[in-house]
Amino acid sequence: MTADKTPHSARKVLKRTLTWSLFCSLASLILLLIPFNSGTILDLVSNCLVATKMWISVILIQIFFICKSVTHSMPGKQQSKVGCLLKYVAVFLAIVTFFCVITILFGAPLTESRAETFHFAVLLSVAGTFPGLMTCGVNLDEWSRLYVLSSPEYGVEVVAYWTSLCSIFGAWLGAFPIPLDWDRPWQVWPISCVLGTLGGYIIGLILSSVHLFIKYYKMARQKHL
Amino acid sequence: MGFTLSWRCIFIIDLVFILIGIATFMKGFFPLKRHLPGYAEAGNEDNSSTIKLKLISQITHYDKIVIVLIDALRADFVLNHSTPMKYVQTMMDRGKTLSYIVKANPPTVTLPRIKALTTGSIPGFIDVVMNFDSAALMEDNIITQMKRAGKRILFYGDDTWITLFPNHFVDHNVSRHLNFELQRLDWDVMILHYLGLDHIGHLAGPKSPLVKPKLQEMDDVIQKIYNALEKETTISSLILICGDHGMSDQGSHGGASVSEVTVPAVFLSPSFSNIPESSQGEIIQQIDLPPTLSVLLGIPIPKNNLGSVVTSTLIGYSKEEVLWFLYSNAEQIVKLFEANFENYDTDGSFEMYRLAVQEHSDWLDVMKSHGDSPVVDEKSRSIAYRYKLVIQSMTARISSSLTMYDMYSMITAVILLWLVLIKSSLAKVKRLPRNEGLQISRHSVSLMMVSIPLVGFCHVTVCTSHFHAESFLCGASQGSILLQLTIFVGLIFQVVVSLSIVLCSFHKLGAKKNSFCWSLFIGTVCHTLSLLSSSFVEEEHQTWYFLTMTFHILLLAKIFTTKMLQKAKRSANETSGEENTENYSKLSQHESHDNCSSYFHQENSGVNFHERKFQTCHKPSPDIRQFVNSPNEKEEKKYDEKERKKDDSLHSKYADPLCSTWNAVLGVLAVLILSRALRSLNQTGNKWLDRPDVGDWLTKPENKVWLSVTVIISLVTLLASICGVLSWLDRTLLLIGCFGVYRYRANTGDLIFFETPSSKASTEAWLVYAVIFIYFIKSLKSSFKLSSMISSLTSVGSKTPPSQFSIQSPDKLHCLHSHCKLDCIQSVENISSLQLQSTQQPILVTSLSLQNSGTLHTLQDHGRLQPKFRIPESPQILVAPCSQQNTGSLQVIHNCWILLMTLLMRPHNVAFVAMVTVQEILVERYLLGHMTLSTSYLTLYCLWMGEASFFYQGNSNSISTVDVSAGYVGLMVYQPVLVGMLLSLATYAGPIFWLLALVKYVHAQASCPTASLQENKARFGKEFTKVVHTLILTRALPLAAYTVLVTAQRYHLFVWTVFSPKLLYEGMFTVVIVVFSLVVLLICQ
Repeated sequence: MTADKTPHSARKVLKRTLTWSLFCSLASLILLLIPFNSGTILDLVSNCLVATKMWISVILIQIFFICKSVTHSMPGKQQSKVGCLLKYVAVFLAIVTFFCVITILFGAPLTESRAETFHFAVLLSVAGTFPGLMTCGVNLDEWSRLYVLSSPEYGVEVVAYWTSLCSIFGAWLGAFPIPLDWDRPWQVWPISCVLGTLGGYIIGLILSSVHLFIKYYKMARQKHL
Repeated sequence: MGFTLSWRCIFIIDLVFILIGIATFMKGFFPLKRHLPGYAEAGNEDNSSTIKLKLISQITHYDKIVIVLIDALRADFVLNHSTPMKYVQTMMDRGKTLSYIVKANPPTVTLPRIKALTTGSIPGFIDVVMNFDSAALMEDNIITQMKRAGKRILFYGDDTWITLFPNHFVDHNVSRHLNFELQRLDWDVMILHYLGLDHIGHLAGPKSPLVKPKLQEMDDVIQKIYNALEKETTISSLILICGDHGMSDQGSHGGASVSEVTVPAVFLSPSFSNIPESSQGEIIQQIDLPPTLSVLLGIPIPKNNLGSVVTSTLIGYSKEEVLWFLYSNAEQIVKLFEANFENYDTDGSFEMYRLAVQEHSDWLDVMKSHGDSPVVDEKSRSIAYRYKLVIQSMTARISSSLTMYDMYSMITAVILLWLVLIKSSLAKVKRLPRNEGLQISRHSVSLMMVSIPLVGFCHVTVCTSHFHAESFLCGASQGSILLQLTIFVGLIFQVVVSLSIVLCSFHKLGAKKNSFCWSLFIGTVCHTLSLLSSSFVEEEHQTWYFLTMTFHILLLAKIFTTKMLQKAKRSANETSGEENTENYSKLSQHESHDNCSSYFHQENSGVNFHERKFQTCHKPSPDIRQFVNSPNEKEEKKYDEKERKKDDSLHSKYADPLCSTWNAVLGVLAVLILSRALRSLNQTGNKWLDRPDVGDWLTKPENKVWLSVTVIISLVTLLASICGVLSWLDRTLLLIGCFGVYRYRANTGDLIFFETPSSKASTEAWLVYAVIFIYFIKSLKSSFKLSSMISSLTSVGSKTPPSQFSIQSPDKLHCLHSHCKLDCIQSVENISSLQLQSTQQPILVTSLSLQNSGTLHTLQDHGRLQPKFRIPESPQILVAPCSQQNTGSLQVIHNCWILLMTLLMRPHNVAFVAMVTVQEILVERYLLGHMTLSTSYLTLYCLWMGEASFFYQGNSNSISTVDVSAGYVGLMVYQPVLVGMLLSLATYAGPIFWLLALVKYVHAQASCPTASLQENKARFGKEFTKVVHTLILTRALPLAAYTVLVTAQRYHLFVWTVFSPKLLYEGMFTVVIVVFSLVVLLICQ
């Protein structure tokens, strides 16, 4: 997709992705910090489910726009639109189930707060695998190239790589404060993990901006030389 | 100059010093309180004490006392003006009550509070542990004193009291017929312990709307009692309303916050009248209540009491009586003081006591001759004041000695532990050659010469200083001097060895780590760091569950990654286009990083490893039941096809790398699901302890059938999973064992059985012990038989030229793979004797090949074994099957341990044993091969699993979860040593299980088929030294960190509830690990 583009347009793409990811990280940060502890409907601590739903859609939109801004078309365009979409949805559902199982294996309650666990799993799959799904599609080889060999190629892949890794790591870190005896409302399952995921997502966006900036800078220098 | 010290020797010394270090620390940290045994007598016959007064002949006391103990009754629930207890409020206004604000000592938990309320002593932490053997309270207490005084005691409350005071109460459940008892009044003391308020507190907190009706209900009960007692005008009676501990604003208790330690005490009596408002609300200690109650009831004050009589309650008593009470209280405390301090008579407070008694007796004479006068009255007040002062200062001295730390020995122990840690980690980092031992250099020896007088000087200085003179490290007795010498030799030894290690040249600096292996290391360090937070200590099980889960998820990721890389490589091979070269180079980079056990395998196997890349992709598990290996895939496939025809079931699983990947993935998932099931079997910790769990549900009496079904299913699973490879005799033995376990539990009444339980339950337990013993001995015997055979074999083998001991061509190597671990012993025996007779040539039978390339022929059983062995024509090499045989006997030890676990654990934990066993088998079969961990990391992995299973069992870092009944399985009488041993074995059953598994794994991994017996032995020695080294590190690290923390936080709020129990657990675990390591080191010689 990028191979046939001239270096100039590659730079342009990079710049656009960089701007988008910076913008998204800033927007997410504001969205996370302003309602925090406010008690409003978007407050994660008091209205966990609603806020998680909101965040799921926010991340979906952001990732979609970051990817859309560059590629203009979904990967796997050969197939019919509907069949393609169905395939994506099926894969995504499988991923959600997988994360549900992993979350429960990690110790989430089995009988209580099922809705919370499910919401968390959806959020985690959106932040952790949706970027990959958008860039690599349902092609396993692409996935393994991106994540196993960790060689993100063009702009969007960098964003996908960092956001997904950081989100999953953030969710993992988010479980740490749960056993502490501070008796804070945000220690309740799954708020701290949701916060960790979102923090990881934002940090991933920032990291990918830095990564893209370095790439952009190098490219610019090469051009000057 | 200089000399060489073998590593084994260094490690043994290290183990001993870790033990000495933690023991010294604990001795300094837990001061032992001295109890006075026996019960106080009414008349003071013993004249051991210095001064005596004549006994007052007639003492008035209350005839009937009702103690209404309301659990978690906070002071403001009663003493606040807006209290819901309106009746008590009106009585207060009418001047019928005396109310006090009582300060309880932490821990504010019911059991220690009841002990304090009845004995008047402050229970030290170590008392809890020391009194493990008996649930009943052995100390002198007011309940026993009441009983000895012939009083009839009625009781209503929970089992805590009944177990503390067995056979003390005439009736256990008064509440239902409270009205009846109040009418009859044929009792002297009635104790009512209401728990409802505490339940509400835990459920909803002190501000819950449920609290008010509960308090009103209590109020009604008090009103009822008061009305009943008021009717009887001929007898004097008293009601005491008090709480055992308070309630924090969250509704919990246990800590030392103001709302948890302040409780009310309200004395209510029909004989009180017009008590002024001003005398209400005096602040007293909770331990003041028992001596006051004894005085009010006219019984002797308990011997170990530290409280003082509250004189303001003595309304209607004469001055002589008040002074007499104070005298007897002071006298009792002086006796305790004498027992606790050697030079008691030089103390100022003792002088004051002598003076007070003198004045008291003078005053009595004056009273007798002159009668009452203002001067006499004044004098009596001053004497009372003196007595109170004496009691106060002595109590303060005694209780401060209870919380005095022996800082000198604590700091010495901390230094010792840190030195062990530093030295071991230096040895680890420097990667010194293990087989040579350590060169102790001249410099460090000379340093030792200098440091001996220096350390000696420091010691003498500290011991002669005023501050630390009481340290037990400064004692002058023979044992103490021996201990001092040992510790200081240990300190100097550690310094010398670590210096020698520093001076040693770097042997090798290999960077053969990868992130996967490092996660084990990082996790271990993280766990040590988590110990610094009290809530992470309380919830330590969460840390271990999380860590093991994370590791397995990483393993899953690793398996996938390897799979992907393999696939990518294949496609790269196929296309071999230029565009893929970049990826390919990355790939190979990845793979070379991916091999953490390569160090060991490369060095040992002696087989060419140019195919290593391939091997890492699907390295076979070291388990002897499976292997697959071939230099390239074509051959592998051929071989598979051949094998599949012969034996479809066994090999199809491992042959295809794709299939083996899926097996591993399923194996990991099964292990994870079992972990999740195990963690919901027993809920432990502190924060979520009260959540219902499967174990609780199963142990309910109405679920007895389900429990029995669970136990039967678990036992069958156990048998099925461990019996697969055993001979019929062993199977029968194990079956008998499991049946014995079931019968034993049925006899104790936990499980159903079609026979009525007989009274003697221990017969079955002894049957199981006998089965374990026979099984163990039988396997040992067969292994001895074999080892003698092997030695004769190798003696023949050693005569042949050494060149024959190398592999001539890999593909001609025939490998014997025996399916049955124990049967193989016999089969090998047959074969080798047969071979010796027929060919008269030393033929090495490779018991199991792991990493050697070459076509391998596997033979599943005896039937196919013998024909195969006629094939070789050229002289072949015979490897003594020692590894196989040892793995077999290791499996037997493991099986014995499993059987012992099922016997010792509570019935619902038989499910735990079954699940852990299945987990272990899955790990051995499917996971280990994909982990490719080196010995040290394998040790860490097994320790993690062991720690997790320690908590799966239902243990926690609180003393209360220790299952004391496990210590008495099969024992008729209390035998301290046996009970202690069984108890610690049962408590650490999970970790010991995984340690035994570790020995098995390391043994299987270390045994090399192409090496001779001696070489193999040397290799085992080396590998097990690595294991012990890692164990030392993993013990020294948390101990060193934790002792520093405890020393720094010794005045912390949670020191008795969190830090001390954890210290005890760490100490006990250290003992287990040290014993295990010593056994391993000594046996692998």
